[in-house]
Formats: sequence, C-alpha cells, structure tokens
Amino acid sequence: MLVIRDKLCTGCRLCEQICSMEHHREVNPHLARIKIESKWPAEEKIIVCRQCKTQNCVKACPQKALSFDGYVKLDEKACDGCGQCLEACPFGYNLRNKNTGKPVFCDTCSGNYSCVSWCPAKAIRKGGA
Amino acid sequence: MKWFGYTGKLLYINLTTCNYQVKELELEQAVKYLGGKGLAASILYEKLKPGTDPLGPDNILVFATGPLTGTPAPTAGRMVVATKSPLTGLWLDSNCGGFLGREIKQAGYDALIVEGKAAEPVYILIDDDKVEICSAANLVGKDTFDTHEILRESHGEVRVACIGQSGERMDRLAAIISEARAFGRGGAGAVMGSKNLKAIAVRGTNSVKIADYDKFVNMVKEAFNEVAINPDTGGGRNHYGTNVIYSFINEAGIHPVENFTKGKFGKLDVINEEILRTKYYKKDKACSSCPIACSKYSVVEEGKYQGKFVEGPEYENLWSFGAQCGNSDIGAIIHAEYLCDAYGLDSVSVGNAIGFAMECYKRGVLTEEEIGYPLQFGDTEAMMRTLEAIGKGEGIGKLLAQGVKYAAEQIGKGSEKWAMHVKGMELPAYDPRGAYGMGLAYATSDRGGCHLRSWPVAQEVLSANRMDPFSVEFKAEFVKSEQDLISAVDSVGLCLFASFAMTLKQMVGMLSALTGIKELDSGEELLKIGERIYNLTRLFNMREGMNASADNLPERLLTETHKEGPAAGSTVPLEEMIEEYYRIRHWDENGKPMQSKLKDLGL
Repeated sequence: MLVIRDKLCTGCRLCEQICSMEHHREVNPHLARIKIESKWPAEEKIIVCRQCKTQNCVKACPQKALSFDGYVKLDEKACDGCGQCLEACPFGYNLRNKNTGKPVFCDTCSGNYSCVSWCPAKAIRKGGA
Repeated sequence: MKWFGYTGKLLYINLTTCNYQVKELELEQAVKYLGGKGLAASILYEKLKPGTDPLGPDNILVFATGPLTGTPAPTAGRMVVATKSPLTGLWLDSNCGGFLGREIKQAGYDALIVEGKAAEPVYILIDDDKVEICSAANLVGKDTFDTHEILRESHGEVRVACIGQSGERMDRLAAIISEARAFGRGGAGAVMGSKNLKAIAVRGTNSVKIADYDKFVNMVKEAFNEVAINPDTGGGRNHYGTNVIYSFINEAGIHPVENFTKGKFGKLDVINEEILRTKYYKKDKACSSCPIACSKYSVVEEGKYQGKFVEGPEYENLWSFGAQCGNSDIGAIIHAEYLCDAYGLDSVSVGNAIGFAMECYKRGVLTEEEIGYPLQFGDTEAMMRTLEAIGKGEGIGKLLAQGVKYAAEQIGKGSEKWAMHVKGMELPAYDPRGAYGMGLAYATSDRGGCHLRSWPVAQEVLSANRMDPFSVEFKAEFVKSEQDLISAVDSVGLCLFASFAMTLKQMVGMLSALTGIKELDSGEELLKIGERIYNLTRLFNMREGMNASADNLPERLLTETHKEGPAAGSTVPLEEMIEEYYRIRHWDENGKPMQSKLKDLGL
C-alpha cells in the first residue's frame, strides 16, 4: 500500500517520467500510472492507485475484470473500458491508457516501487500491508 | 535517421504568411552545437541578417530545448529563448525551467523558430503535430496569469509561455513568462510583442526515446545522488532556495546597496534568508525532474502586503527590490516580484532601474515634478508606485521600462555615470569591487550585465577553497572555462545549479547514453562545444558592430570606492584581466576571435 503526502510534493513530476520508463522503456508521462495534478500556486495532488483496503474498484467492475493480489490487476481482455472502477475510487484515481482508454493501475514495479525510490521529496512512501 | 533524446525536428513558423514547416535537425548540428543555446546560436547566426531591427519583423525568436530536456536527468527541464535583444542590440539567450521545454519536446520538436510578424495579435497553439495560429483578441491587455488561465480554459492541459502588458507595449525590459517562471533578461518579451505574438500554448503526448536504457538509468541515478549529497544543491540551496547566499554576500561587502553606492545592507536584522525561511516560506516548488526545488513558495502573513504571495522571492529580487532601492520590507519585495511576473517584466532589471531613478532623484537630476512624487531610497511606497508605473507604461515608468542605458540617454545631465549596466543590460546583485572575477564575468558576458555566464563569486567569497577576491590571479582562466561550461549546460537542457554538483563525466554519460551519439561521450568535447558556442555568440555580437570597448564596466566600479566594509577602497582592475582573458581566448586586441581559434573550433 502506498502512503501519499501531497504537501511534500514539489510538483517536479519525476515520478511520471520514471513510471513510464519502468513500463515502456521510454519517457512519456502520458503513459504513466501516476500523475501530479497541480493547482497554481501551491497545491499538488498525487494521483496514483494506493492499493487500498476498500478495493471498491474491484467490487464495482461489471465485467469482473479486476482482481486484487497486493495490487489491482486488470484483465485487459475482459475490460471494456466502462470506467465504473474509476468512478468508485474513494481517492479519485482516474488514469487510463491514452491509446486503449482502459484504466491503468500501479503494479508496484514488481515490488520495487520505482516512484517511491526516486521521489526526491519523499512524498510517496511504501506503507504497511 | 532515428533520433534518441532529440526529436530530430525543428518547427519553423512564419507569422507574416501564417505558414509553418517542419525541418529535419542535422546530426552535424547536434554534434557541433548540442541543442538549446548552441542550436539557437547556429540558427540565428545563419538566418539573422546583421543590423536587423530587434523589434522589426525580421528579427527571429527561437525556443530551443536541449537533448536532455524532458528526460528525468536531474534538473532537465530547462530550455532557452534566443533572439537579437532590443535591450542590448546584441545576442540574447534567456534560460527558463518549469515544464514548457518538456512539453515542446514531447510535442515532437527540438526547437520552434518564429519569424515574421502577425497582422493582428495571435497565439500559437501546438498540439503534437497540429499547429495553429489563433486570434489573441481575447488576450490583449491581459496579464500573464490571466493569459495562462484563459488558454488553459480553452485548451485544457497546455503549457504556456506568454507576455504581459509590458511585452505588448514592446518595453525593452519585457520578459516571457511561463507559469511564474521567466525567460527574464534582455527583452525577449518585447520581441514577442513586436511580432504580435501574445503566447504559445503547447501540448505534447509523444515519448522521448532512450538509446542505451540501462546505462542511462544508471547515470541518472548517479547524478541524482551527486546532487543530493552536494552541500549546496542538496543542502543550503534546497533549504533556503537562491537566498542561501544572502548573508554571505553581504558579509563579503559585495551586496550592492542604493545603486552600488555601498556594499553591505544595513538592515540585515530585518531582512535575511533565515527570516524568509521562518516567517514567509510555505512550500517547496520544483521545475521538471529537479530535486533541488530552489523555488520557495512564500506568503506574506501580516502588514500592508498581507495575503500576497510568490514563488520566491529569489536572491536577485531580494536585492533588486531590497538593498538596491534601500527597501527592507520583505512583503513589498514578494509583491514586487509577483507584479513583475504578472506584467511580464525582468525583475532584476526593473529593480535596478528604480534604484537608478532614486539616485537621479537624490542628485536632483530627476525632480519631484518630473516624477510626480518624491522618490527617495528606502521609500517602499514610492518604489512600488514606480514599479506599477513601469508595469502600466505610465509617466516615469514609461522611460524606466526601456532600461537604464536608454533612460540615462534621455535624462542626460551626467546620469550615465549612475546607469549600472554592461552593454545595456542592468547589472544584478553582486558588486565586483569586492570580487574582481565577477567584474570580468560581467564585462565579457555575451548578453551584457549578467551573472549567469560565469559566477566567480562562488569561488571568490562563497567557497572554502576560495580564490582571492581582490586578486586578478586565475580570474581570466576561471571566467573563460566557466563561460564555456555553462554554454554547454545551457545547451543540453540542464540547470546551471545542477552543474555545481554534477561532474562532466556524469553529464556526458547521461548525454551519450540517452542520445547514442558517441561523439558526446567526452567531457573534453563538451567543453570544446561550449567554447565553440561562446565564440559563435561573440561572432554574432562583432557582426552587429560591437567592439572591445563594450567589454567594460560602469565607470563607478572602476573609479569610485566604498568607504566601509571588506571592499573599502577597492576598484576593479578590469583592463589587466581583460587583456589576459583575450589572450587565453585567442581573441585579438580588438576582442575578435583569431582565425586560428575559429579554425580549431570548426567555425
């Protein structure tokens, strides 16, 4: 589970770049599973799946395309991109693949949590299970 | 050719004909000039006719990213705007962080080259490969913050660079603002205004590709570590922002007070970096992929300016609206910096110009009648009133908005002596009478009175292994090598501050792993490219008619002395340093690069 501290976020958006590199081996925040929403002048919001205990997304999916195994897993074939999972998220998570329109979720980088290890401001931490 | 790091594309936009064209970047251009400043210099040297009116339709405005821009290399959010400066009539490149560079790169371009002049006010909208020139009728007269907001309301998540009212009026101190960060110095905002170009708005969704993925990631990790453990970038600068140096510069007696008539501000008990940190600081803000986060969001909590805020204030502004005008009200400084961003003004030059006007008033050369009110050093109200007048282009502000060189020419009566500029660009916050190297750096900066081409004060007064500030020894060598290094840093897309920490080896390691260009895997080569760029901007300036006499300092710094402080009794021995500097640069006695040097650099 990820612990988010928006107030520490400087808005440098390194996490977006690192996330896209981990998953696609190129730099493109639009492919990332994390996003910083900034409201000028000084509000940053970290948008990422926190792997929370409610798992409302899993319950909300009409296609049963989602499962939880330490993190939210998406069955791409079963998903029709309806977005009900995102609507159900209590943290307002809303990221989709820019090409397929289907939601994307943090997969913990195989347990390495790249965003956590790279964040210079320590605004994202790995919490307890 | 398949490009990594680079996009390989240059977008040429002609505002007269409303046409645009995408051209290929040549590999030779990248290898010779990197990107950013270097690429812009090569384009402008080739395309811009000598003698072009900086505010005429034939001037060219280049927005250029570097190969590292938009990658996760630490601080790699930088890009430049380059043009012929209306302030100096010479070369200008102005460097900015934030997120615009990253967006331009992801839209698919290494650089945008804007030519011609639109018939009506317009803005350029770039959405990946879609380029539109749109009417800016609804943006005319808006400040930069409103302009950002309106463009984001219309186009969603775009990154914006725009001018405020000052740029629209083509005032020579006008800046280009991108989300509270500035292409501040030298009047690039006036050039945008002269083209009837109110803004550019960019959205990019493409990927930046990496040639050697594993090596790049390792090199970037190593660079991050270096920046984190460095006592400046990972310590003081991270904590206090650019104001980390404030007390040290004062202690050294080189913080210019009241238009460079004293060297130490007498109000350090009410204005210093610690007070800023404890009473005003609220939050760290950073440019793209920057761990230093030198931008310190600050809010005024009491007094006349209660509720005012800024991403800063920066050291240069703590000076320009502080000691330079004899003002110690931090609230006013915070609001002054905000207003400069809003009107789209260079906050260093504006504060310098107000200090100049204050001295003219003090000496009776500008009267209360001419100004409309008394303009004494230390009068915060009068300072803010003058700033508003500059922003609105009214009264005395109209004159001061053209810079101190122009203003002094108009005022006459010997006021030139108090116009603190080099080549027409106002000096920033260091008095070289207590740091001789800084004097040489000012005198030989390619864009005029600026501290960002070489910053010897770091070695002369701030560092433990310092050079003697009152000696000419090593200064020419130091200034030359730093000018070359920083030219390269400004061309690859990194921030000057990261270069305090990173080694050359780390820079070229990231660069070559990212781009796959083997020629770039050498620190020696990087410095040579930097030297090539600095010689090219020199050639640009010589072609515009500049000669050695322009490599000079205001008379005050060469003849007048301070009565007190560490720099008391001292003047800058400039001639001696210039002579050695030309010799080391292989420039002749007229300051012209020798043929042998040009041949060696492939120019």
